Amino acid sequence: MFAVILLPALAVPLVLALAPRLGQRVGYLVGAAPLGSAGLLAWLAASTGSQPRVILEIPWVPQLGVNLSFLIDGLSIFYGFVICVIGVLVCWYAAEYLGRKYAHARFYSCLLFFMTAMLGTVFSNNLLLLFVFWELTGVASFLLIGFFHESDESRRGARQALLVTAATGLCMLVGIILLGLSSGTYSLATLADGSLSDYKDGGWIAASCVLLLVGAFGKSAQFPFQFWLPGAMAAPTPVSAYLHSATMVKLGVFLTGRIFPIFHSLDLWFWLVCGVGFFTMLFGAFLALRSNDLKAILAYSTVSQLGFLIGAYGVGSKTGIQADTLHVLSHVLYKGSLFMTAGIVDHCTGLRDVRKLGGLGRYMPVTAFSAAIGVAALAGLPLTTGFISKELLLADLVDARAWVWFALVALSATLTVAFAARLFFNVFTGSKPEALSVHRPGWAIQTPPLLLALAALILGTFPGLLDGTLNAIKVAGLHGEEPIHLALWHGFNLEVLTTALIIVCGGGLYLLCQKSGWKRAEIPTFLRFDAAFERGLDGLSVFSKRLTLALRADWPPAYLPIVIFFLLVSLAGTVAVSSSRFFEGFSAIDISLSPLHTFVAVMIAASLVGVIVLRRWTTQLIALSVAGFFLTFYFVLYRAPDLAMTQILVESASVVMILLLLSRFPSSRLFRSEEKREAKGRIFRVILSGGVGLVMTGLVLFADRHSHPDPIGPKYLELSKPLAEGTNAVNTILVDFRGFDTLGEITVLLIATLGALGLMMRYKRGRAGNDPAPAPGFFLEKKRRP
Amino acid sequence: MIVPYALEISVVCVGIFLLMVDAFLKTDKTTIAWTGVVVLLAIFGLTFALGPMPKGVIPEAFYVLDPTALFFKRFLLLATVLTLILSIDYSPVYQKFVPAAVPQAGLGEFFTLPVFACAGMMFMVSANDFIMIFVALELVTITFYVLVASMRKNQGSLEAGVKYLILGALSTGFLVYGITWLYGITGYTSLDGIQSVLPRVPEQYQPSVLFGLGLVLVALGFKVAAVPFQFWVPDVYQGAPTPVTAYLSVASKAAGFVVLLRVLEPFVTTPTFQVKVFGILTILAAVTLILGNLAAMSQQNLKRLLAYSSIAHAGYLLVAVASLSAPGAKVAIGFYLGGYLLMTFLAFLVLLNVAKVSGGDDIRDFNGLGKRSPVLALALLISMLSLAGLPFTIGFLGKFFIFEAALASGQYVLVVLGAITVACGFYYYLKVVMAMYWQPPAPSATNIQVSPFGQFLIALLVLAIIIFGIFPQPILGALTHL
Repeated sequence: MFAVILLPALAVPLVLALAPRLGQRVGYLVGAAPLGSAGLLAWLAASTGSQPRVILEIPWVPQLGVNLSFLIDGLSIFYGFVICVIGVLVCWYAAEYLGRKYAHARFYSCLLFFMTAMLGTVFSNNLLLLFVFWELTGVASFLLIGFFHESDESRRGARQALLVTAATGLCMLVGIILLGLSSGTYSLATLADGSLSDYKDGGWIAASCVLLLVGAFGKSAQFPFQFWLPGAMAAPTPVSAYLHSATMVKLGVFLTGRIFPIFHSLDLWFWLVCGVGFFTMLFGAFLALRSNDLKAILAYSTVSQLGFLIGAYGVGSKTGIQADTLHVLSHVLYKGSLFMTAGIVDHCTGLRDVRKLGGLGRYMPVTAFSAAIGVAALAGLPLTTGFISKELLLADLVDARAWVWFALVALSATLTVAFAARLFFNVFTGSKPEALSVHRPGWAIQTPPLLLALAALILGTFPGLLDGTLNAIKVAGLHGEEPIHLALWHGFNLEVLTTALIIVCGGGLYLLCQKSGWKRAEIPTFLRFDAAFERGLDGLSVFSKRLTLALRADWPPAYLPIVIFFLLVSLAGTVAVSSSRFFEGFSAIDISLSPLHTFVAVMIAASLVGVIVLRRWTTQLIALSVAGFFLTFYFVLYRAPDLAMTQILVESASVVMILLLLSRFPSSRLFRSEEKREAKGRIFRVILSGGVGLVMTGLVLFADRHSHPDPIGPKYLELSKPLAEGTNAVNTILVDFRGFDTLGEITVLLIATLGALGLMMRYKRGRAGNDPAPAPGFFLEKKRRP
Repeated sequence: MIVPYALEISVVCVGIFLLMVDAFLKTDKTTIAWTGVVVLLAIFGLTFALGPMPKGVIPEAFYVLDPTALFFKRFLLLATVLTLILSIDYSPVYQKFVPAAVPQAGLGEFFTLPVFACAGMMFMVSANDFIMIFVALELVTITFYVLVASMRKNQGSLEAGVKYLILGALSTGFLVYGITWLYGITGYTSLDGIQSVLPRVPEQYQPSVLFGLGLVLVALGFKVAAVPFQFWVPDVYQGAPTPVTAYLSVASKAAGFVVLLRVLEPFVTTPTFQVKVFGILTILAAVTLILGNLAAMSQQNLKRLLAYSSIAHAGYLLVAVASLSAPGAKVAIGFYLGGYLLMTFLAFLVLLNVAKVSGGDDIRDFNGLGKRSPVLALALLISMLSLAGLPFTIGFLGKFFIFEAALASGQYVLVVLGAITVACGFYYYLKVVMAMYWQPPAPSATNIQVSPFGQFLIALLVLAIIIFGIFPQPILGALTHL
């Protein structure tokens, strides 16, 4: 099992080593890796053939209950084969397609890395493991889309693809965790066997279903995420053929199939899956009809067909799906071949615009033949797999009596016939435009699409060949019990009639458009989701810049208002939500004032007004220290001598320090700067200060109201005599009870003084030699504000 | 019997010893750093000899040595070792910006101060009493003031120092005032004491308890760089010497979170306060997530981008803090921080090496790094992918554990916000990656050589990020007893 998954990744070093020597031909060597994987897989399938389901498990993070757990059943083996076989063909094709100047080593390493991620995804049994591989496929796709990273278009496409798939992938992760939390397991097998009614939290099950589907829709480019896929066409064509039509975008289809057994009983499943799927089918077909670039047409048609594949899971009756693997297989065959032929056309003419191409059939008959089959299958003409698959879906819809979906499917199939016809006739038939120069493609490059096309033709003509395989890879819970029997002709019924009608109408539409010269073949602006997405990204970027600038405070005086504002708001909020009893106590406050207290308070207020009004820093400082000393007086009034003492010391020390510092300032800086503050800012500040004042007043009143049950003051007085042998309580507190505090305070002061002294003296000495650095200006700010 | 805080004492002794060597021996100053590295690694080894001790065993009630404390002591020792190694790499740049009376002036202090900060933070993660928290926090912060401003001829560094000082002093004020309120209501400064009293706080005092806790949260919000107390972060991170920036963003943040967890413990386990406290934390986490990620998107300077991303990561960690009611939340925080240590130091290691040659740390200085130095580019790639949270890196598992805890505790809004912001994260981290690989190098750009030891360290960190991203057991094992 591990060998199957890891073989491609293990080949990476070999490729890196050999690529410079082998050049272009390294592609054939690379093809050996998926071939090996396919061989191993065949052996594995044969050895486990009798059992319907095998689970391989190795402990990984036991604390989480996450194990490296792989699920081998029909579905995973089917997808595994698709990945490997198409992988081999794509490597072959790429070896011929990529010119000499490509970075082969990088290209093939990414491709191999992608294969491993893909195989890991389809074989994962644990949903978390699946998510991990899932995201890795997104990364590989990012690297491959951005392969021509010199071009702007590539980079944009790569970024879009990654952001869309990664973001939807994260939604999926949330869905997975929700599912895991409510069901208690992450194992797909266990989940498929279980029943939703056993899980707790019904609401979250529906949410996790939606989130998982969002992940699937994102990966499979379903509406409204469809825009990333055409953008991804900036990748080299082999990549488009492999990742963006045959495999990676099928992951969404795969996941829908995997979670079908878990969720299909939800009502929401039918509406969501069918609605999004079939609407996307129509929408994609419409956009394909209005595009002109070969690859864009194919990309939108892929979007449309993926809608078909996903929608098919919604129609499935409660007993199970019939032919999902057939649909996928058919799409892989014809779309892979079409992409490859488009690549050949691009390769030989250098053009991809349908309007400028024509008459190529003479130069590349083999390619034209492959294209003809591919287009026929796309349009659903008889004798191709596309026909069989569409008949089956229509039959399902008739059975389910889902006439709305039936109409949607029929309508989009009609559009598909029209652009399919355009793809073939306008490129390969008619006369060659003068300006077009063509060189003939080699055999080697034409073989892979031919093989795919032939498969589509043969299996379409003799569908019975598939019966055995399709029945063998049935998965319990997903597929119905009764055996599948495919046949070309089921008798004359509604489906056949519809198909005939579709082909006729589609042909008519093609002729109509051809007559009008495809004048309307331009996607209207409001449907350009990719442009909207880019604008959104740019807008987000601009918004984030504005936000950062608005909230940036790289000017220290701006710090405090922000913090205080936040505090006030949160405080007001707390008071508002907490009980109203907070205010009760205030009514009973004793407001009789003692004259001494009042005098001191007024003096403090007056000196603070002085701080605001005065303009010289020294006088401001003195006013501030006056306030400080009056505060000390307050401590005395409240009989806290030790605090008063400390406060006096601190006040005087800091005043002396600041005055000393100010004396060193250039005299021009001794005044507060003149610049006028804008009125708005000033009002904000006044409100803020008022708020702080109010809060502090409230706090003081509040704290004052509740006296401490066990105050320490009386104890000092009581113990002063017996313990400290002193009659002066102030003395005993400072020297005895709090002796260590006092010692510490003295030490701190001393050290601070010494430090200040050292700095002052050092400064004086240095003045003669080198100029002191300028005051720390706020140069970052200056630099940023031109 | 070993003294419980023997580890811290030995780290302080190492610091003093290194200072003495600096003062009295005329050796090459880098030997001081190397000595520090070796001795701290030895102490790191010693921590394994010292098991966690139950509360009753340690006589000092202000100090705990539970598994959390032990895990984070190891974390901090490693962070300090990495910082010292980064500092050695950085010393040529550092010397350019220090007035050089003698050769290698100031280097000795530059190498020694992180050791003291480490001791302070080791005390912080063990502190179980507000007084202890305060003292340890100040030891750390004051050391950082000096470290941040230590490049005295570089205006950016000076500016950063001044700003950090102002903000630090402000936050200390909040802390002390908050402690006063809590002490006033409960009568205890020890967290155990507060825990015992909290359920019995009468209803009319509950708003004041919340007020006190709010003030403490403001102070801790400054330390862990939570919005709206984040505004110092970009300037300080950008201005400070690069190793100090890395140290600040990893170690200081981690210690801050441990203190936050300890302080919150009594409040989130008391039913009367639980809902309100979680409410506050949810709001903090949400705004931090949004602002940190959005602001990072428009940054052009890698150091500044990492500063905002560090705010964003604080946001994810706060999501886990707001989900503390889930059993896995603490493990998630520990694991996330462990991963954050690895990827942040890796990013700064590359940044330092590139900036040394290019002379700048704008994102455009990294243009074409894939061609100029494949090793550094690969390392930065891994670091960015891990910071963004890509599977198979440690960053992914960290985010995963956090989201799982958040979902388990019902914080659905935060999970949705988290998922959106992770997508934003992809955008700005990939901007760096795209510059490295998809932009041509500037014509004047030269190739960058990395010293063999630097390469060894880079390889070690890269391997650790990937190996622990695939096999997280070793870290989880150390965390399971939290």
